[in-house]
Amino acid sequence: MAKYTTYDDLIEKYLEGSLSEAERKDFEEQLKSDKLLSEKLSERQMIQKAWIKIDQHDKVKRHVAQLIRIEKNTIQSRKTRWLAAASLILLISISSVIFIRYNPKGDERNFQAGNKGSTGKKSELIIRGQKNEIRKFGSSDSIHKESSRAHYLPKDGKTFISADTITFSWPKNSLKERLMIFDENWMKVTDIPLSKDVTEYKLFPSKLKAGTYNWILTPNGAKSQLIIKE
Amino acid sequence: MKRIPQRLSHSSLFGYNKEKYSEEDILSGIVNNNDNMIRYIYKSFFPGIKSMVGSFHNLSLDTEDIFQEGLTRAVINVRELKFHGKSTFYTYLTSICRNICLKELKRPVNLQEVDKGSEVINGSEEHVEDLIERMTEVKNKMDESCKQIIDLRFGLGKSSNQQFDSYQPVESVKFEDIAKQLQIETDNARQRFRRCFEKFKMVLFKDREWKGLTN
Repeated sequence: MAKYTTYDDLIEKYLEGSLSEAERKDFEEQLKSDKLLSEKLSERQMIQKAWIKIDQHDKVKRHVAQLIRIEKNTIQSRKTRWLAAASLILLISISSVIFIRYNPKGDERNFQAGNKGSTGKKSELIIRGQKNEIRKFGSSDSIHKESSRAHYLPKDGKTFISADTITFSWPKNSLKERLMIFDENWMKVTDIPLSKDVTEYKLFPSKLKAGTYNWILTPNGAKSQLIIKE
Repeated sequence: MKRIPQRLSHSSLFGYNKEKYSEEDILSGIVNNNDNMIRYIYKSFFPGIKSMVGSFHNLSLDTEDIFQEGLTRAVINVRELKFHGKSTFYTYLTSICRNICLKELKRPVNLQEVDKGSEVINGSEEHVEDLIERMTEVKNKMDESCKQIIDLRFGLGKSSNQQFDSYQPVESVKFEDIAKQLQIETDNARQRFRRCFEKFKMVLFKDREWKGLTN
């Protein structure tokens, strides 16, 4: 064992290059004849090479793992972006369908004009424009409203045709409670309660036949006359 | 590095652009330590390897772990010029990963028969890999101070830029230099190294699996 230790020391000195020139030559000469020394040197060199290889393997593996992690994150964020884009498109599509389906100015023409009852719930009075009824009065379905103005009431003596939709529009701060329409003899034709949040009412062609009518918007009593012709 | 031109798809808007590299580019990228090439290899080859690994049942290793280990071995072999380009890099990587799976299942098969006509790691390389793997396990069981002194003696840990030097001459760092670095006496460094190295050898040579591999 003592000999082995000596060999080990000798080998270590040889490998670190601290043997003198003469000692190194002696060592290399001894290697040729001493099998044990030769084996121990080979073993020592093999272990060092393997140790370095293990270290190199670990470093490469860590590096590869890091790059794979980065690439996975990139792929994940790319998927997220695609998902976000797809979600956005889906959201826009759904919104568009809902907008077209339920827009009060759309084809369906659903709107609510009612007052709030004592219970605070919205009135069940829902006036729903019917496409069929509009068609019944003609193919032209013009809405009389000056687009440049935020609110509009028909001028006194304004003449419409029976296929027209007549719009009554008022400012938000001007609270209206009812729209009452009378015939030319001041006989009440219709009395429409208006909810607080309503600032516009559309009178569809089916509501009034040809004739002369008086209308009043309460409470401040805006009133005027309108004429409907066939 | 020459890239095969390819028309950009609309998906490049989202940062996804399908690069396509030639075999030469892949090998050159690995040798030159090009990080993007490793990422490209993962992106392009992992699905295929995953499918191959999926064909093995009862594997205790995760597919990603197998791919990572396989790619590490392939990268080292390419850098050490052990891969001669007789097959595509993908085939080579697949065969390495398959070997890992087979070894994991402890199924003795003739690896040369698995991939006739393609380049696979040969028997002696496989044997060296086994020895190193066993040695790694023994090394990993050592305490950190022992690993540190052996690392220093073997010239590791001096700087991080040695990481891809394949062939280093077998020479050792002087104990005087190690002692300076660790701020201890030279004799102390020598004793520590001797003690740790003997311990390592003793554990390694007594190891049953090591004996099985070396006999």
